[in-house]
Amino acid sequence: MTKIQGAYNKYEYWLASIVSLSGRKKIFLGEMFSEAEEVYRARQESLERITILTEREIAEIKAAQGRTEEEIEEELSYCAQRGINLTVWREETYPLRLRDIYNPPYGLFYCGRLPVWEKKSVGIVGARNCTYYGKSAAEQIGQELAAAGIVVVSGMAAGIDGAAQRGALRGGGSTYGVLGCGVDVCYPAGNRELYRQLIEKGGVISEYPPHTRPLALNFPQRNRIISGLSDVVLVVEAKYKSGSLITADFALEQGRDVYALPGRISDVSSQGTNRLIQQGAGVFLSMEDFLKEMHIFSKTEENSCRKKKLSLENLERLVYSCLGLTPKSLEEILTETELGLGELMVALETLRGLGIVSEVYKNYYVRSDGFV
Amino acid sequence: MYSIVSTAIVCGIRSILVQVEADVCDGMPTFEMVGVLSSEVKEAKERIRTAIRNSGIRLAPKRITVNLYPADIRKSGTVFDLPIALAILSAYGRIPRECLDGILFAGEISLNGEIRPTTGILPMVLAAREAGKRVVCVPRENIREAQAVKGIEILAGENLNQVIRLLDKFRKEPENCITSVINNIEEMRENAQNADFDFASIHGQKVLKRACEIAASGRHNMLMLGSPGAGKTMAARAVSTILPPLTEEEALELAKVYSVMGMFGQREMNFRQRPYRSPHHTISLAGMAGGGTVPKPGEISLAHKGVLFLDELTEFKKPVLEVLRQPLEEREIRLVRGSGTYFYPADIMLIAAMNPCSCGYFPDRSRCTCSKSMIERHLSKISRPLLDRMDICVEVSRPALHELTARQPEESSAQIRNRVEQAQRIQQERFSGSGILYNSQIPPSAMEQWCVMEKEGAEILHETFEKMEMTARGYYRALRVARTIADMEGAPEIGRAHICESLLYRSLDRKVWDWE
Repeated sequence: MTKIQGAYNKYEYWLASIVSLSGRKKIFLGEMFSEAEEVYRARQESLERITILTEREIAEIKAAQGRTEEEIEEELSYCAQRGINLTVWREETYPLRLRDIYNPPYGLFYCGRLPVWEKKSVGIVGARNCTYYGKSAAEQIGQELAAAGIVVVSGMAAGIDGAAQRGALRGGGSTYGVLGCGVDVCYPAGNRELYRQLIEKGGVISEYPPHTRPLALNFPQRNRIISGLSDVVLVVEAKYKSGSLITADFALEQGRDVYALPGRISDVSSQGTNRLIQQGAGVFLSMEDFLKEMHIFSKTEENSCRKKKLSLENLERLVYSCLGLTPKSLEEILTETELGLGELMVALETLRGLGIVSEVYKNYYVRSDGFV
Repeated sequence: MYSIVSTAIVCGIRSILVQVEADVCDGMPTFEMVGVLSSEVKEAKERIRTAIRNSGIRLAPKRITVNLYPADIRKSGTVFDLPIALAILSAYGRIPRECLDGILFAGEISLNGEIRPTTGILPMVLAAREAGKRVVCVPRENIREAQAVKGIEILAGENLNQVIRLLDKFRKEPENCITSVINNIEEMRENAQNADFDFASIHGQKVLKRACEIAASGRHNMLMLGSPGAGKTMAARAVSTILPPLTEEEALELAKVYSVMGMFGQREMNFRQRPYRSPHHTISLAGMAGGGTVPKPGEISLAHKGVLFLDELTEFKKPVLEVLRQPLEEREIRLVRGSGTYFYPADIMLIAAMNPCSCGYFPDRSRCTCSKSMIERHLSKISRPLLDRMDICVEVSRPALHELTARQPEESSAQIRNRVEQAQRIQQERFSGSGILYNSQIPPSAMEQWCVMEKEGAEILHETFEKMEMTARGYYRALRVARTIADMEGAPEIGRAHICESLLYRSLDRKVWDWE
């Protein structure tokens, strides 16, 4: 057997791989039998004596016992080959923050590293179908948190999650993605590059064994790990019914602070976050405030005040002032500024050259300089 | 006795002269027809025999042999009925042979001897004129089609008896037999633009209108992207009204396509107007490109020299879109069949419209629920090679209410057309003798010669090229469009503003958008 990092044995790997049993019960079993190997060899009668196990769960364990030791070893060598590690409950490497949550995972599979206790960490979550506003906010917040030495935890999903983590990577910090599938599965596939960088600069973590497919039912459960690994959870954009709100609920249950990024009341994608604020969540207004409330005094404070002093021509100033964070179509800009198409295009190209305006979709423009 | 009559067959949109020989002699009373005939021509035997009898002509039972040559072309269609009937009657001695000399006949005959209209009359008449025939004899319903050709005289009869009488009379006193012109054909041709649609009826939409004008001026293909009800279809319809009228030659070529399809009636009243075709997205491959065992032209040829508008571009079947690639380059479509190769003209201006995502509201996130991957899947339905042929890509947003209700006078199509004509004149002067007509056709090798940029313009284009990771194709497209914009102003060199504006019409380029 190829030994991979960590002090666990193949029986612990086996126990961690049983998906249908909650982490809490697995930990209980592990302590009850004192060794995972004992669980692997447990007879029907001794399992039946454990009152917290339902009949169905006992059947699941018996079914899992059907896997031969060779099969488990084969999987272990696959893990070694792919650089997949495992940490289990009893080990020291097991993240401290997860020990005090209600239903901690028995084991965590991960590629790369695990977050360390000493560093503050912020979970940033939000909708997959986000607006440009949410996306750019997430990216910028991620970047500045990373620059301030704070760990960013998120779900590596499309939209807000990915944006926050890309920002964090750009800020040169470490960031961790908690997945709802096996750590050897890149979901969504479009985030392949992010996945690669996360492993390099931080880690991807999952409660589910390798090869697990991204099933919808895994994701709400994975959210408890995101909030569990964080000191503060920031919800950037969420619709009225959203998975991000589940994360916020877990966070509250686990005693983490919840912050929300306010949005316009007319925006569907900000309904969830605005509601959180109404219910008493912290309001994210500026990076400075946020860091202060987290008792962190940013070393990069002067950087966060990044409104560049730009000298713009009158024409460009006019066009710039007409733009906002909501994409505006060329037709609208044309009507508002009353410029000729030629003039307007010259101004827009100049502004784009300066990097303070960008085209988010065919002929839709937004401001793209910082605002947080 | 032996006789010979001229007729013609349509092949593609050309026509080839065919001779019908008939021989009547004593022997077993049979009726044989030879000369590579398709089934509808073979059936003519029964139609003709009955039609002759029902016209009150009694023929003695004799051995009849009919041959159609050249024998290496398969004869199909129904134009042979009339010439075969006349050849037989002449071989029986019922019609003097001199009556049939120098005349081309075409027409289908029904059992009671009536002459029915047929397709492809226009190319046949043109072929007759080329072959030196002075007179054609066509079905009465096809007269107007035959009249589109100048320099040839037309005989038309309603039934077989009438034709026989007409031929006899024509031999004796030719000047009184030629069918008088029903309507003044010249007047009909001058009626170049019918005003059923006009740019003046589109309110607001400055960007869209500007894009349409540029596209029309340089004959660029255009892709419109916008939510439902934004006015994409209206704009496409209007583009055909700002194109300059067809030249005589172009109009005739186009009319040939319609004649072959039996749709000459559609061209008749607006002979010089550019065609506008908007096939539904359920169209088949053969419907778009042309085809069938006896090939017929498709929509792409019916839109020759005009606008082919594809609404809901993403809904078209992939092969139907891919087939457009070759004609867009070569300006004609080639169909290769066992029976030969057929060429149809297909010099089109392609205008396409599509929704930005499957629900149609992106990037308005309050209404659009599509995920990023859904949008990408939606956009990827259009292949890159096809996108590469779209010089102008423009977003169309829904007009605001105040724009719709503001009754400001908008520019009419005629005003815009004047400018388009001006811009096209500049192009034609520049390209004279090079085989190119419009800016959209400038090859990369001639870019330096014809697309001279001012220093500032070149700077911004090169900067964008680097920053946006533009492809070489994208670079040339931007330059061509900028050339057109400069031509519209009459500027000899391409300036910064021209380049900037052309970048606005850059193709759909997922890489550039900063949405994720």
